[in-house]
Amino acid sequence: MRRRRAWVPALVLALAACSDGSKVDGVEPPEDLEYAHPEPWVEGTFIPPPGPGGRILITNSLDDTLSLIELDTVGTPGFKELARVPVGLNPVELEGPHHTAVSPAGDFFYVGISNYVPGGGSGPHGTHGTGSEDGYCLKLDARTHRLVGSVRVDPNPGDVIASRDGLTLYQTHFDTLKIAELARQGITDERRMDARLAIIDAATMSRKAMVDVCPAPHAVRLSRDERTAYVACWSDEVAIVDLTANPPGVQRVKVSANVGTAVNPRHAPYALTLSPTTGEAWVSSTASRQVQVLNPITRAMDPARTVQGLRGPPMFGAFTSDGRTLYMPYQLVDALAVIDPATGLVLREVDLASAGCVNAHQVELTPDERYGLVVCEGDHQGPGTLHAVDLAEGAVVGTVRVGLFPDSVSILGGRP
Amino acid sequence: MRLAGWTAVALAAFAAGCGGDDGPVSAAEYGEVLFNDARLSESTFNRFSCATCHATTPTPPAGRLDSGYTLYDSAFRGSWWGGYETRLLDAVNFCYVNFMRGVAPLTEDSPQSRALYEYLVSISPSRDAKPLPFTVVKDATEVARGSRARGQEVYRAACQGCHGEPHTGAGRLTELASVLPEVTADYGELFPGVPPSVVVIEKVRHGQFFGVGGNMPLYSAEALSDADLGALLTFLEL
Ligand code: HEC
Ligand code: HEC
Repeated sequence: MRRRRAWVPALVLALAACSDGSKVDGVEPPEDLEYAHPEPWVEGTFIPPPGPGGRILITNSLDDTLSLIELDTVGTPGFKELARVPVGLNPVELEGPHHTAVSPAGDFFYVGISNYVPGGGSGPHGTHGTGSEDGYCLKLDARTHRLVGSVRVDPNPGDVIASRDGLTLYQTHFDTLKIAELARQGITDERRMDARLAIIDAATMSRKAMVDVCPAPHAVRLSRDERTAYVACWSDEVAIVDLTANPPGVQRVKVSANVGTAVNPRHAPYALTLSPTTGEAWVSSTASRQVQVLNPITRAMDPARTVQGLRGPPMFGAFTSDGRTLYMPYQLVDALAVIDPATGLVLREVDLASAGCVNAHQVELTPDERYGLVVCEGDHQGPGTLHAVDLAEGAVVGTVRVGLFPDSVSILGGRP
Repeated sequence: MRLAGWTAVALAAFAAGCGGDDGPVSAAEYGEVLFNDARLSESTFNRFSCATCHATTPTPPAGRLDSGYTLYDSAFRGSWWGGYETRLLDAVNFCYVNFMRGVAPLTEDSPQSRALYEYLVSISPSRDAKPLPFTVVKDATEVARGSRARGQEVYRAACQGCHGEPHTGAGRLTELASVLPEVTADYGELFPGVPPSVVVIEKVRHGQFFGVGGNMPLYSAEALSDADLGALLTFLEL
């Protein structure tokens, strides 16, 4: 060792003099490089990592960003956007981040990239973002917001959720384009229109299974024992996926006695909310503006408690942990319906439109269940909004403008 | 063993006719060499260096219209690529992988990467440089034509470095860069019903992205105005 070092200065002198006057010979590193900066590449945008108070994540699907809001500012004058961070693989093309799942430990989050962005660009080589391209599920480090892994999935990723231990992800594909394409070819066999549920190993970001579920599956939720997944299907069905079987078994249940087809649904289920106490799946059907109840034991719908009379399409709701109240945002008039799950009756409504909400999309409750956080898409030209609703007061107490077409809200950490 | 090896290298160096020189090499100096050398990328198909697309002076020298911004004062902009890259190394690696065919992104701590970093810092005196706008022209549509003389200037300043002289490609940087505008002769067959000018507009505005392919850079609205693009098309008789 010592001997070798003794040679180095001589060698550097020798090499340094090479290639006409330049001290560097080609692109090979000179032996005796002198660095001025011990820590390279530190420059960038610094965003504080989420603290113990937790953080709200909102995906802005039309501008490839996530809006970050500190959870402990909800209900205070400090309720505002902390930062907007880019998400995706490419700074040039719009990639359409869709839903977000967070790991229970709060260390990672996962974003579905659809590559389906209407108006995402066009030219003679074709229109970008027609939805025919495969999507991705991205894994990001919650502290740095940096990409740490990804896996290719099918076209048009829909919903994505994580298991309680954070080890498995479930991602649907809301592939209505597949339905339209087959219909155009005169094909009516709905099994050929099925899109898949991706079951992903979150540690390695690899696909464990791809399960044909139904035409254009969207929301997916797990039963409390995580042995069953419930999926809202555009084809007027709920798919019940037995995750204990290999391969997983799928049963499809029509949401009503009176249904249409995948091409022409009468109900068009889109979202789904599970009761934490009864395990019932409450299915939000956008076309019929109903919320229909699936009994997990009989695997039959309970039409007696179907929520009726909403003045617009219901979206992603949330239950209180005691299972006694279901909060359901719905569009057109843009309100939050407060539903009694015992009867299916709407007890009251919170007006969101007057707070600037356009196209309510999802509600998430704060861990203390004092507030509902409602994300509204906006008109897809200008910014969308996040509203904090004081659930006891039944009133919006804070509004934050976010990015273009936000369509999911999740909470990272901050659980009691 | 090792000693013998080193001796051989040193002797070879002397034998090659290199005399003595002054002390160690600063990483920034080495970084400047790498910045200007296409061999930074190990791909045998690559002919581009960082300097092919980026100036390093406060304002780009006259007669240069680059797809990329000058990297003078680039290190402390805080975000890059219109806000879609939030780490300097990621901003660099996007170029390295997509334009220079770098097989794997530069790591944080290789001597090459560290030297490139120190060079960028050395040409970035302003600690509070602001991020620069980057507007991708999403839809390739016709632009108004301009003056031929301006079009010729634009061709020389923007395209000629890579594509060489019009009609012959003489002096082009790589054989892979097509001869302009002759390459458009096939466009009628490849893109029936589409004016060739729109295919060229798409190439210039989207580069390799949006499913176009290749490894030419894209020109944002800031890098090349529609007026200059229109003049260029007049010059190319498209
Ligand atoms: C073929 C052309 C090309 C090559 C080669 C290239 N770049 Fe780029 N670079 C671009 C374009 C186009 C952009 C986007 C416009 C912009 O932001 O400057 C860009 C952006 C950047 C940015 C972000 C600038 C900003 O403020 O947004 C940095 C930094 C950068 N390049 C560094 C490098 C380095 C270092 C190399 C060599 C390893 C390199 N580039 C090679 C074309 C190129
Ligand atoms: C950094 C080098 C570089 C610059 C600068 C550059 N090009 Fe290119 N260009 C290429 C390369 C390499 C190809 C072939 C690979 C590809 O298609 O990307 C190409 C391909 C093209 C093509 C497509 C040819 C085909 O196959 O149909 C067109 C058109 C074109 N360039 C036009 C231009 C115009 C106009 C400019 C100036 C505004 C320009 N290029 C600037 C490197 C460059």
